[in-house]
Amino acid sequence: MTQSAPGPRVPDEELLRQHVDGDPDAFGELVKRHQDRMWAVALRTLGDPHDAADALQDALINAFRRAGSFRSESAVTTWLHRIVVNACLDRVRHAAARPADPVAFDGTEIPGVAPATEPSSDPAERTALRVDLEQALATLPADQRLPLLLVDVEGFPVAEAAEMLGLPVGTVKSRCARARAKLVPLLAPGRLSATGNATGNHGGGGDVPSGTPQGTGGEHR
Amino acid sequence: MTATEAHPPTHVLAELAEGVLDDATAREVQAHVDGCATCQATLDELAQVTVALQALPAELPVPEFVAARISHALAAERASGSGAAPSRPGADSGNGTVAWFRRRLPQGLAAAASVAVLGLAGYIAVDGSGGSDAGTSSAEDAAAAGAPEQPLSSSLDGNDSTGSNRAGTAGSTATADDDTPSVQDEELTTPNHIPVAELTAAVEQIVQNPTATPAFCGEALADELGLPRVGTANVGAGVLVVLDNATAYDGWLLETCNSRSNETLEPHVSVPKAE
Repeated sequence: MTQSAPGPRVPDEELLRQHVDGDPDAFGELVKRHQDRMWAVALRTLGDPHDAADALQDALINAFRRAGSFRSESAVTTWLHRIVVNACLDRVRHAAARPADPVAFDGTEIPGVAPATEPSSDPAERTALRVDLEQALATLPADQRLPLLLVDVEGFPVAEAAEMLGLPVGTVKSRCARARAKLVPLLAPGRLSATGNATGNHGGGGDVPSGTPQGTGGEHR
Repeated sequence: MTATEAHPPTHVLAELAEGVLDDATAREVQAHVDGCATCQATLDELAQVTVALQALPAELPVPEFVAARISHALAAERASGSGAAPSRPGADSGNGTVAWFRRRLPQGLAAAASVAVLGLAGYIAVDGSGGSDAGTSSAEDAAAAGAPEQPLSSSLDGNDSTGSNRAGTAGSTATADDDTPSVQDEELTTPNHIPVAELTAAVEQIVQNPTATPAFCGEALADELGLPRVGTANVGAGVLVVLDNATAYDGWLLETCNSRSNETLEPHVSVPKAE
């Protein structure tokens, strides 16, 4: 979690209450605290800065208006992100007619990247890895990308991500699992040479027979 | 070793790791994995995917253009007064319609009724009769925020007892909705002020005959809002500045030619473009 600790500053809940009570600056402060994270979610979900800006603006206006309906059983961050997530999903649905992902990512453009467990000391190489990751993320269907973003990239606990997404915890876990499985062939070094392309969902290596009689493990709702 | 068996697909291994397989399947897959180096390696790679994702920045700096857009939109929202009013559905008895209406508000605003009357930064709508769980005196806060002396009340509140209509913003959007009768009629008049109809007519006049006197008049507002200025005219005690807002002409009645959006005499009016 990269969110800075409240420390001595006014807690989020208090800022939200001040906003509801008419303090003209409270909401702006709240936005300032969380906007970079909300932006990261919106941008990675939608892929396009203009769409992301639209979604973030919609979300914040919505939050501004609906602040009074905030219930303190969830954290303000969770509440805010839930609104951002919904604004993004709205846009994903509306954009469904359009080509959703500008990056036509078929795996052929991936160089063998260093495993993330051994981060390269070369900044350029690290940037390359990051770009590949971002591109790989963009290939995931939105219903898998968002859960994975919230859990693995943003570091929210699964239960919080589930609340943001309005999905059962089991469904979020399942979608994250499937999303990670799709990323394995895109990111693992040597995988490409073994499989030739990244479209297969079998990740066991070049000699893997596809399909198995074992349980297919459908989504658990 | 069960090497001759087919390997479970990667997503099943991922689900095993995530603990979402049903018990029977999990046992079966685990039994395979225990004897299969290939699948163990795949599980390792799955874990590395998470490690790699965790290494991505969780925060990305909001670009300048986005930050500016959003703060402008929030300022307009604040000016409209709808957001500052407590909107606690169910917090007040007899507030059901209001709560419902507030939830509808975003769509109502976006739909922009034929004459959208938006309130002003100083005219923060306040639920004076709130009795909310926060229990603080929001009317005083609003006054401190630059609102006029008279007590303000959100025009969204059905039980508005102050008769003040300065915050008359949501009322205009109410015209887009049918069953909010108590707030509908209030906003079309702005007591002791220039009627909306007169302002609207003045805006149309400026649009037809765009002049700005003096030449710099209204530029401060145009700069602030990032909208092209159409023209200005003296109306009542103030200066009416008309800006081109892409789909509509916004008329702002300002105290002076140099005023910004926080020095307005009336809620600004928006006249949709004819074409």
